[in-house]
Amino acid sequence: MKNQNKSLIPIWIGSSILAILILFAAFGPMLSPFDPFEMNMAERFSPPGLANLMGTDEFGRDVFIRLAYGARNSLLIGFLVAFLSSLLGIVIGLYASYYKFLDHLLMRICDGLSAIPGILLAIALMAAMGPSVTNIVIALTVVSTPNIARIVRSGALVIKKQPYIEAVHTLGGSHSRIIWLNMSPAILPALLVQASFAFASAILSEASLSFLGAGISEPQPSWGSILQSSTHVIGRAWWLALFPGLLLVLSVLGLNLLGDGARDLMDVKLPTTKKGGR
Amino acid sequence: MEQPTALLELKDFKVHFHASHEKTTVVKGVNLKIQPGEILGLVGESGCGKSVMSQSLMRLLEYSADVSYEGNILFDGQDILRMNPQELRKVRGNEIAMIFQDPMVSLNPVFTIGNQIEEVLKEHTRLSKKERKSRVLELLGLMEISEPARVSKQYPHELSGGMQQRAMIAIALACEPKLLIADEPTTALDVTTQAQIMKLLQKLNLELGMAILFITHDLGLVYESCHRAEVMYLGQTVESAPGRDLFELPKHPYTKGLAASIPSLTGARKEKLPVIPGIVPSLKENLGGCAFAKRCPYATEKCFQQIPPVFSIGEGRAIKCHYDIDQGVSLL
Amino acid sequence: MVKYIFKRLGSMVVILLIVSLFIFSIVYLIPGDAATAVLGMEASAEDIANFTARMGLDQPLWVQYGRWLGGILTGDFGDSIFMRRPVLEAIGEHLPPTVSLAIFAQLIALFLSLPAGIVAAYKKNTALDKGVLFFTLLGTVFPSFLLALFLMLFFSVQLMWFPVAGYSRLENGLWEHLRFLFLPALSLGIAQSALITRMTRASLLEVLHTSYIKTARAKGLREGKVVMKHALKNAGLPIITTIGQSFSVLITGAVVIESLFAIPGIGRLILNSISRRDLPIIQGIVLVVTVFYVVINIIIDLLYGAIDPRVRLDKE
Repeated sequence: MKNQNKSLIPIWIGSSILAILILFAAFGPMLSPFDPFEMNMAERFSPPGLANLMGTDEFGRDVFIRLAYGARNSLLIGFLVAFLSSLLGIVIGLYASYYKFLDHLLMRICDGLSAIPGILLAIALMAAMGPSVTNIVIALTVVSTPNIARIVRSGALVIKKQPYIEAVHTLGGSHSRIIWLNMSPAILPALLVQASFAFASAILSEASLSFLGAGISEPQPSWGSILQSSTHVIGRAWWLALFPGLLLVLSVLGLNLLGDGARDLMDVKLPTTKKGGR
Repeated sequence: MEQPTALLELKDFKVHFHASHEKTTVVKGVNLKIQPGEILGLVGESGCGKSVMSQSLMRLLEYSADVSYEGNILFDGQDILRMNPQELRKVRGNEIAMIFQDPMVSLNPVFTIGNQIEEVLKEHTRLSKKERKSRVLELLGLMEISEPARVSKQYPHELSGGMQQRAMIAIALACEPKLLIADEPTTALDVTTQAQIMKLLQKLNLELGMAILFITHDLGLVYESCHRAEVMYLGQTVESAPGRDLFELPKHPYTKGLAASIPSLTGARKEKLPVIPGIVPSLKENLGGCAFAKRCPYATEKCFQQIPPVFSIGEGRAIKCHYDIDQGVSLL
Repeated sequence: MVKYIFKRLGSMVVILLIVSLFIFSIVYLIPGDAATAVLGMEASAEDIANFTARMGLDQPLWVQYGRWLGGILTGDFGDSIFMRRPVLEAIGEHLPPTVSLAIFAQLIALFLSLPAGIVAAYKKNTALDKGVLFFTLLGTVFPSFLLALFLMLFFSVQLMWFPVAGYSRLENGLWEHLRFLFLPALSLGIAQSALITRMTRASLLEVLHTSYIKTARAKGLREGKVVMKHALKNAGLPIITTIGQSFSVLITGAVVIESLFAIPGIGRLILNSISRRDLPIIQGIVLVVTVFYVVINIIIDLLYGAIDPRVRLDKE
């Protein structure tokens, strides 16, 4: 209890950062008189100034508005991936923890999937499915689900042995009732924490994919592809690297702080396995 | 009974813990002496500060906590509190050794027993590798371990609790220290093993002439094995007496309570085992009077207002109490 | 111990089989007809028929998988669609720069993180510790390619200490080789070290509070020996586990970093293959890298047994 005030600070900072990003994504485009796709070769590589707050790119497009639209993509993809992989993860994790025969099957599949380095798996999936926002969401969900499923499962295995779950068994609760009504709420805090990390890592992965040209493709705006375009002109147009980089770092930082803070805050209520002291 | 040649002497020794601008004094001015070759018992309930005190004798606490000391710890006339790290290292494991409550967690799980014994020799002696190896076997034999060669190659988890504690003692004795601090060395062991380890310690005390500071909560063990004993309550010693007297003729009300709460194997079974009423006050409480007053059945007004001094009562005995309860007289 | 080794190897085989199934099935994610998707709309019917036959796309699925896996096991990863040459050959050609980069980066990471983690744990709650923690936070939130971009901007463009991009083969001299790889390896290594530093600090902190550390001090050992021998060996397991697992992060980073620094490694190969939709190459790379990753982690599992005698018995 003593530490509660202290633990809230990262959550406040994290959610403030996230709020700013959401505001930027929602209202940023309205603040700029420019069109994200309109090229203006006369204004190529103009540095940040009053006209173009964050300068222009190699086609003379306004960076500010392209970053704002990019923020929409990043946040949308991050959120969808976090949401979908949490959903899949809780179903897989809970059922794996509950039924022994499913456990082996599902966990081996998860082991296999997580043995493949995430970005490579995502690249392979994107290469097969072709670039689109939907496909990015699918690919990154495939990448992040196994991890979440495993965390849900290990939490659920502990919960399953709690006396109150056994009590429901004795009372004759059906399996699905026990799984969804009694076990899933106890898993929720851990899931939320993990989801915020998945959110952050999805944003990062999308940027990496787009940076590599396997994600959102031009002329659609994405932080990753703007960063990519900066690499050719690194000495001339620092703003092309700085602003998308800053946004990326801020969003990952915000979500990590949120996740870390939430974990510190909720750890107390989570049933944890005792670490073997001796 | 004043002997000038005490092996270890504590003079008004205090240990303070500092945590977030708060000072907690856990050991509150202890005076005691250990003579060479003597087994001194230190008895008290858990939380009385006996473990903290024993660990601070070699200054082992300062690594994991923010502690400060007051007073003196004179070992062979030298003050341990004023030693630099180098001098301190020469004393540790060499002149003073220590064994702990739970041998399972006190031995390093990833090194063999032989390696852990040899390490002390390497640190403090100039023995060659071969000499060290044979010394290790000799030590294990001294601990009454039947297959020293095999045991020296084993890891701690492969040994029983009793064997582990023997290995710990072997580490402690490697350099033939003048003083062994044994912090509840038998508490984690079963009763039979406990007796064996106690016998071993007594034997080593006799044969090697090594003094032992024996920390325990068990008055029975003090009765059986200690030459002299000190009773500790709330960071202070409240009674000192020869080991047997402490059990048979306790003088301080607290010691009386401790002795009475031990079930007797002979004689009529009492209705109910007496307990000392109340709970141990917090160390942070600032007590104006006797620390035990609140729980003491004999406490008077005076006990709550004045801190009792230490009175010498008879041969080798002293109590920190205003009264001699048995005589029913005030000691002033 | 033998039983333990066999058990670990068995689980490795199972995982790799599952991985191969996934990688194999990626081809079937291609929307519509795979042949058309790969060869393009303007491909002739003959080309498509050839392609279908060559890839065995007309066979039942399990036959296709069997043939594919059989090929892999005998070292035949198929042919690149675009380059018309064996996949394994192309991968082999692009492997050395990536391996160099990964090893260099890992060394930098260890060089940075082990001392930092040890010092932070030992000087817990001091300004030094807080400083280290702050840098690990930076390392966690800064993706390696962003770090690389800034390092490049500063060291190559401003100070001109290092080449902006490019690669020099090891055969042309170690010094040149390392000079080109330094910035990419540094940016990867920094990102990598954040994780390892945190783990080193955390597991060392746990160990430093144990009783056997107290025993070590009571023996009169110097602090260096207490920490480096008694504490570090016990804290070692979680640390090397992290190192093994972070290999995945390293590869991820390397793929992106290579494209940034124009290093002709696996990352470059995969990038080129994405735009050409050269799936056999991509499948081959994913498989090779995953095998690497799994094997490294198995080696680490086996190291466990060597470091901690308890593991050998526990897993019986």
